[in-house]
Amino acid sequence: MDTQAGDKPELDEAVLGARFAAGDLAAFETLFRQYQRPVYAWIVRIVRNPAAAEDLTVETFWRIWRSRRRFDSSRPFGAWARRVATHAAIDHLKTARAEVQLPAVLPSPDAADAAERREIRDAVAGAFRSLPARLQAVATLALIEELPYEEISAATGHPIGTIKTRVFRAVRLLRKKLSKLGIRP
Amino acid sequence: MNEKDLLKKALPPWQNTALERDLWPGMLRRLDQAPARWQRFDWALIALLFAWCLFFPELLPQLLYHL
Repeated sequence: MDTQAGDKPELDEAVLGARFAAGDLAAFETLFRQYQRPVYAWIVRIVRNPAAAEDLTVETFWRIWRSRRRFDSSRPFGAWARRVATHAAIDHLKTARAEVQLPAVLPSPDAADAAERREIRDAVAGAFRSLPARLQAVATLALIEELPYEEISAATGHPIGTIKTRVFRAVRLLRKKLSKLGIRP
Repeated sequence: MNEKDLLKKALPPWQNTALERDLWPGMLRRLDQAPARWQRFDWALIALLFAWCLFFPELLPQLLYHL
């Protein structure tokens, strides 16, 4: 994960990480200030809501602080933070998903004018947001943000095969939902 | 057009990923809300219960009866 002050030597971060794992709040603040921006940038791409992403960034670092004893300072803090952030974002999508309501059947895209096309886009977005959170998060990163499977695998902690399966399931489920709405890609 | 194209039209890649403000003050508020004292209080309650059972073992069946 790139950092705002990414030019710090690696050794510094290992020492900082060790101090953080021992419960040093000043070390945690340094890590927070160094990583809040990349963590936010990662989360906002998944949840697509800046206000929620800010809250989730704090939630991510709260989880990180709570589990600081489990942190291995020989490993990069950024990768760990990104993994925690991904899980926090997925947890958020689980609750946000309950609020999504799909519209009734839409007109055919062939005969659609501008307003209808907008309605179709909204319906596609709604159908996508109604997917299970784990599928939605992975599909957002793979299909919308077009990130490599390796990067998504590292961020979620799941093997690449699992990521590919989830993307496949997300597309299949989306196709089913769109077909129910009368939208055929 | 496949599902991916349709999806990217409906939800284009997120452009503005820049954080507008420092979140550390919010983090500090969150840390202050941490229920750190609860753990100590819980241990005190357990110690009290243990001492009570030690000094008044004859009351233990009564306590269990009422639970």
